[in-house]
Amino acid sequence: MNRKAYLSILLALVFLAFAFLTGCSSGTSKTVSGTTYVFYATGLENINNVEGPNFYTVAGAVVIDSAGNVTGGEEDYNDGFGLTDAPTPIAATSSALVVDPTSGQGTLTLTVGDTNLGVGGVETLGVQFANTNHALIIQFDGSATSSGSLDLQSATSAPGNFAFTMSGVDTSYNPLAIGGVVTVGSGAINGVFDVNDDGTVLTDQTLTAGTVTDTDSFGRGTITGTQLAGQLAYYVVGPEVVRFISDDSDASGVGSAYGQGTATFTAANFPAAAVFGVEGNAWGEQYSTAGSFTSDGVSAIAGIADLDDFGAVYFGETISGNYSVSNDAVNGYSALNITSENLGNVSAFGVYMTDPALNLLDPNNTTSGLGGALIVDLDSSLVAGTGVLIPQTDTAAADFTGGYAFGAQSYNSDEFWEVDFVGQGSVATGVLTGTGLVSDIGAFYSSSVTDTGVGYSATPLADANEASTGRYTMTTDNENPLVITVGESEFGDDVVLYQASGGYLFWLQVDDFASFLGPLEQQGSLTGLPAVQKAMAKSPQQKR
Amino acid sequence: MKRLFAGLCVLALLSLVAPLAAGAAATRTAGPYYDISKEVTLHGTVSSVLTKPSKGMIGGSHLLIQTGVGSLDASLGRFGLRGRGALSVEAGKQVEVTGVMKTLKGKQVFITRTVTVSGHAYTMRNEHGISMSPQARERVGQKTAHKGVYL
Repeated sequence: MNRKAYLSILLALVFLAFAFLTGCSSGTSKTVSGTTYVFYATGLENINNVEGPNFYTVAGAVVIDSAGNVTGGEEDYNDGFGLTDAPTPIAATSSALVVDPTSGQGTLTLTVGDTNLGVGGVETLGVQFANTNHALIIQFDGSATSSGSLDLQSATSAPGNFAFTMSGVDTSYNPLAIGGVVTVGSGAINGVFDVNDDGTVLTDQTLTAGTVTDTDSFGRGTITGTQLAGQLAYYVVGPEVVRFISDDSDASGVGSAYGQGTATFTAANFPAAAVFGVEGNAWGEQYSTAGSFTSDGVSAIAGIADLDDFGAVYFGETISGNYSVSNDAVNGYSALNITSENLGNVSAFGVYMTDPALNLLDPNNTTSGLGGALIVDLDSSLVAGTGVLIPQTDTAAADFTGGYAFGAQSYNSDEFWEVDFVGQGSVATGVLTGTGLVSDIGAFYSSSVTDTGVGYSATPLADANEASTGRYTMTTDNENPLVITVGESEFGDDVVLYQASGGYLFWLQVDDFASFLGPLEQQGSLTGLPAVQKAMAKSPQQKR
Repeated sequence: MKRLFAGLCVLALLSLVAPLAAGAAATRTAGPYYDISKEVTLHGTVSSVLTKPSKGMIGGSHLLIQTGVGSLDASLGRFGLRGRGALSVEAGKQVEVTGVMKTLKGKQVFITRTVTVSGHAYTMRNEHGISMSPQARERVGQKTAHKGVYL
């Protein structure tokens, strides 16, 4: 070997050693390869159980290689009551995405730096992919139960104008929700917001200008100096979509911000027809409502809605009201008032318009389900309610067909705990069948904290005027409830469906003992999903 | 007459301007669910303590109270019988309850804000009728290290 060859090998070895050492370095420098997904969830926590379950939130970014191995990431976790990680790293060790390639259902295990989280530092999420870019998620390990979303990260910075909502608990551990419109740029944030803090409602509040840091290589940055929180962490999903979470140790909250694009919002471009879904958080008043309405392009709305307010059910109520859209001082800062006084305590929504080219449920979908607005409930008795309204573009019952990913966050008025589920199924000749994962710490369905292979079956019955409302029912009165089968047990739930299009629907449980709200999203291709391809086993269930 | 005319002019002007002002910003309206001005205080004897609602009741825990004018369904909310500072009471006890009577889906329910038993007052809800959690009860009067106003 001549000297030149020897030096080349030596240089190569030095380079490899450097690369290895860099790759093993700690901190937030992303030296891992793979596809990055951003996730968030919120619900109730079974760990750190000092005064009973706590409210908690989690948001993070995880990198997954083509074989399904987690190669890195970080997450912010916060219960506002002793467990605050801002952030904690996600290690590659024992972390993986395992998904049934046919159904898109599986689990994502995350080994985090804080062993107090999850089960000894390992969090297991139940995942249900609607397509390779988007999954509905639940925490699925008995340490906590929650619902959220996991989405492909397509950018790591996101300046511009945003509508946002968030919900959580305040520094007194009382429920709250906040929504507004902000401008982010040049390291600063400003705007206006509405807040419903434990029933005290303030609107049109000027946001104290805050400081926004650049993002790290996982797309995480921080916001400080506003009234919203001492520190918010944010994770960029795409150029116009951000998840954010409070990092303060005495409060907890999580939310989303969606860009407003270049649109100038007026009453005339408020959706001519829309479907909405709003639900309280796990610490607020436990209620769920959904409906559909048409607007006159000026100021009036009329439609139909259902509400389950902690067991008080308002079924198929004809609603009317008014709306307004501001575009002078603050673009897209809007309001929707239901004035018919027949939807329980639901009467006042703060509405924040988003880019008509954005899909609020599946933010990487640029072709369908586009447009809409974020909602915060500004009724003093319905604190911590947030949701979305999306344009209703196709009520044809014939288009409610094919494969769907679905999920929901459920509140039980008998038991304290919430139940969260995700699933996958199909609608064929009007019959819905599916299989799902259920997180059930409160033992509502079974003695297990997690249930797999849970069956869902129903025949959604279209209302006589479904073509104009998009509403279906599955009720015991019609001997047609949604049947949920857990092991040998069957449960019949009264459920209402609202179809925004064949691709997107909301379903709402309206029983006096429980309510849930969640989406049904038409499934796309799962080809190329970076996961360990493995069929989802049915049970054994994890015992409490 | 001149003053009246001037007043009418101002009213007319306001009636023209008001809709414009309302259109300038999003209008938000909401009526109070828990109207503290309608609070009443009732006395009675606890006939049942329900940790879970009976069929037809709203969610959460309840007291059934026998008052001088009949039986009362007193809703305690989600946290009334849970955790630190939870209401401690059993059947047969004399209680004083403060709250607002509501009709929800055709049924009367007393939305309880406070319960007083043996001279001890327990807070079930705040002035807006929102349930108070054990964590929130623990933080009452505590100084927190928060930097944000809300979160």
